[in-house]
Amino acid sequence: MGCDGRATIQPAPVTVQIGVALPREGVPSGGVPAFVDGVVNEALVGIGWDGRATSKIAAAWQYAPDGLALQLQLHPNIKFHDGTPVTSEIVKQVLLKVIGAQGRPLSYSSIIEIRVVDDRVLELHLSRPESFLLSDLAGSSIKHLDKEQIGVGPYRLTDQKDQRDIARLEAFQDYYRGRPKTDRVEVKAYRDQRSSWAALMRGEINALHEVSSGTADFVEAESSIRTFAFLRPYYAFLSFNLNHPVLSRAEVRQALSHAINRPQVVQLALRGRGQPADGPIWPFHWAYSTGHKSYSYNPEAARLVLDAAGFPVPAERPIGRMPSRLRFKCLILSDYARFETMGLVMQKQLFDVGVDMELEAVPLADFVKRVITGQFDTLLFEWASARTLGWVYNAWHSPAPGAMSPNPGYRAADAVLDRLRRSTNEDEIRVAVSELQRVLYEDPPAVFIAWPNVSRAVSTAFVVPQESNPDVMGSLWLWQPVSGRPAGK
Amino acid sequence: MRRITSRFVALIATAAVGPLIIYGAVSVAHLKQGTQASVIQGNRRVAQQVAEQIGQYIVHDTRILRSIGLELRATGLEPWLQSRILKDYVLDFPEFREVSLFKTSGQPLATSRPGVARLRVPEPNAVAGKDVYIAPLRVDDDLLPTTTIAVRIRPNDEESAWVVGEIALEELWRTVDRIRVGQQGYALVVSEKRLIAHGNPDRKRYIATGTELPGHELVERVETQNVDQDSLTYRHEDGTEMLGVAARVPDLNWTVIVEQPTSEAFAIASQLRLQLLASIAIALLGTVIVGWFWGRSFITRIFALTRATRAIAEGRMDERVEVGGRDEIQELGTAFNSMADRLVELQEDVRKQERQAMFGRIAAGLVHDLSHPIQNIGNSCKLIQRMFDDLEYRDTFKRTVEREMVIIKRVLDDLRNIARPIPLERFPVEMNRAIAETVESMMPHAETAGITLRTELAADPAFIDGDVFALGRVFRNLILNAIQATAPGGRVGVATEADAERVRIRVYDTGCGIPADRLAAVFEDFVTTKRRGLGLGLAISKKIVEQLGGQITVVSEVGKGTTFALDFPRTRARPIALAAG
Repeated sequence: MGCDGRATIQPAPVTVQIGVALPREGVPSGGVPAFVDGVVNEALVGIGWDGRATSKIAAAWQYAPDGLALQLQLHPNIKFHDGTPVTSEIVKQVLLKVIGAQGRPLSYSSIIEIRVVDDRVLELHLSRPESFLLSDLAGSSIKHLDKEQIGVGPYRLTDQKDQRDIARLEAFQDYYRGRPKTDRVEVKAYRDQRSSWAALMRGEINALHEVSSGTADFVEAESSIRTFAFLRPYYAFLSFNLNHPVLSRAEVRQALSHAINRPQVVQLALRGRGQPADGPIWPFHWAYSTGHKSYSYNPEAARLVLDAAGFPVPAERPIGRMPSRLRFKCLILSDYARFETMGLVMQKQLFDVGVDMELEAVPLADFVKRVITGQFDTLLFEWASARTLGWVYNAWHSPAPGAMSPNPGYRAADAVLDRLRRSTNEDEIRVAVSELQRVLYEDPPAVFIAWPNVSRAVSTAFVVPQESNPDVMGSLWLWQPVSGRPAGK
Repeated sequence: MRRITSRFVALIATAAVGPLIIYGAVSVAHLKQGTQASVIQGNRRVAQQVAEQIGQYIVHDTRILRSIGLELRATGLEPWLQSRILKDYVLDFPEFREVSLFKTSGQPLATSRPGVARLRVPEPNAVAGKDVYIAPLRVDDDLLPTTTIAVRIRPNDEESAWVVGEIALEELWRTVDRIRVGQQGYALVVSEKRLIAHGNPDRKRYIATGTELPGHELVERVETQNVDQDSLTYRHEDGTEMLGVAARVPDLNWTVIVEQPTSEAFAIASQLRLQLLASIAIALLGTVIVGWFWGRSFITRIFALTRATRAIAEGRMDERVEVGGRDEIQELGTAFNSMADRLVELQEDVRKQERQAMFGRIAAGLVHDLSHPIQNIGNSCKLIQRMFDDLEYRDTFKRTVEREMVIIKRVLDDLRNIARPIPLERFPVEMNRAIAETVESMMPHAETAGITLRTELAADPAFIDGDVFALGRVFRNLILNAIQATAPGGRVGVATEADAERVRIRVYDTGCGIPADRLAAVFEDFVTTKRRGLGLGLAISKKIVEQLGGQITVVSEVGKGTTFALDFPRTRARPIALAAG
């Protein structure tokens, strides 16, 4: 009832219906649960487009000059979805839980103490400097200690049941950054990206979490849909098993790096939606050095290097296979069209310089097993960079025994990666990154191929703010319907 | 009066406007028909080309598969190389997702896939003796149409094999998407009434919703009438009127429809129609304006001639007309001016002649009126020289000279008065009395002539502002003329009548009358019917009457008599009474 005694008509609640592709069988993460986690929970910090930490639950932070302590100040008035205030003590308890769990982030091993200064300030004390600490904190959501699905994010679950196929969320009115402009979010799972696109076309949903490259141009042509494309923080690479007798030789790997035409791979396998990669470091990272050397397509150089390395094209033609300087297998995931096409393109490019790369497509489970046990010559895969240097460390530092590694036997970058990890200021980090890029060039553990694009699609019924981070899903809570247009059911 | 302007406008309307309007109406009607037919024909060609292109798309893929198969089987390549070639084809032709080579038995020989082939050879009953098999189009939850084409290589040979390719018809979509007719025209492809491709990105959703088109009349007509082409105008579900043109895709039982909103399809026709109407309107306006300006110049000169003619008729003999141009009207203007010049000359000649005639009459009158008195004076002067001593003759001489000098003075006075206003003294004069006295003085003349002279006077006194002596002269002149014009036994009368404003006097006789041709000039100077005199009597009488504010007119009939009518304004003034004594 309004102030004048007349009944007021409440506007219909706004619902964003997002389609998400189910993860492949065997892939433990992704799908609806991963999306829900991203809007229900928040970490102390986020990672910005340039790889720097951004404010989330922690409003500000400061390293000690020696790098052995990190002080975090929390935002005021942060609450969990059940109204429980988020205090330094609670954050401490959550972090301790994570630190004690298996698979904890690398830098957490150096945390020796978490000290609560007051309700909003806490300090993490380290046994040694950890430059990846903030990026690792970005990966640790601050969840309710007793209720797993209670977080501090802009949305909360209305239904606590299994969210594999569908999840319904409502706006958290006391979200510390302001009330979300969309009232409800519904996340639906579809078999794959194309199925979710079909659902978008049918009007069952009004946003797509990810648009497949095969259908991106059709979606972009729709006048009722806006697409937001950005570089995905994943890079495709052809990794070498340095335990292979031939691939252990740096000059062979250098030659193979020269033989790959990365722009052609982007064009044919990614339909031009991506950019070539020259390493695992996020190209927009603040410490990324543009002055380093990188491999460009040079098949003649490849041939010369292989000739000099003692791998000429044989004069005699073998029976049943192509005459080649060298042969090796490449492990790829079966039923992944993108990897299949990438593999075929690179196979042809290597064929042109006389290298026979045989593609071996295996299911995911076999793939993982082969990688863990090192039973491969090369593998074609995609790895996350998360826009952080910590993930680069995790991927290209020699692993602990028994741990999975895409490049068994590679140690050339260990020293510089360790130096990077121990850096205490930005200058040290820049120097270390530059050095790392040099090492990865001179002794390449892999052929770094491409950074693919990813597109989000949103109905024009919503106004989507454009922020510094081009991933519009990060600003979901700020989407609002165009006035006068109904949005959702 | 029918003006020449109106006739001119009617001429232009009949000669130019009417035919233009008729031409315009006919042209507009034909234009609409012709351009619409042309647009439909153009769109038909587009639909036909699209259908052929799509057909060729499948045929092209079939040929590629056939050539792949022939190349692989004929050249005896090793399996690894066969696989290499298939992989290269898949990379070079993005629409092929997989190409695999099989023996007729189904045993795979080579594949483009990294692992094992996913495709299979078609079932024998599905093939039914054909060498090319195109699987039914699939549009499932993936939304994009996909099909499989199998081509048998060397069917009658022990080297017979199947080349099977899985074709993602995304490229078909892209082909259809690239087809544009104008800004809003698109192509769509229907297979067994189901939409499989739509060039309008906003309508691809109909594919996702599995829209069937059973109600699409165009599809019905093409399929039921088994024609290769057709066109139709219909309304889309959003109310837009569309021009649809359908064409069959050869061998595939697909129908390509090219749709375009009629507002755009026939926009050119509408524009042309508007342009034609505008052109006709401009031509009409131009015709009217040109005709108006030309006619105006034409008619203006005629009006100028008319004005000049009127001016000449009104006596402004110096009026001339300026008529430009080099046509007959200009010649007419020149002729008019010449005529006016000649008229002035003639008028001057006439005046000269009249002046000469008048001077002649004056001279003759003077001679006539003065010769007698001068002769009498001369004779008397001669006699006085001989009879000077005769006192009685000296007395007679004195009287004769005095008498003849009075006559001479009267003639000279008349001459002087006709040239200038006659000095009159105005005071109230009672007309009945003045006339009565004048008539009484003229009685002896009347009796001598044997004529009855009488008066018919108004009952009441009638005063006018006049000069009694001048008026007396006027009445005496009129009465004397009447007596002289009347034969003995006739009558002369003077009548008066008056009303509140006017006093009218009539002097009438039963004399010989005045001929009509002389009546107009009876009051002119030096005009007389008598044998003697200057002919100034009536002229001076008219002058006196007009100076007193009156007017004098005459009517006459030969053989019956003449009546002079005088009309004076009545006055309320009365003469001042003289002091007694």
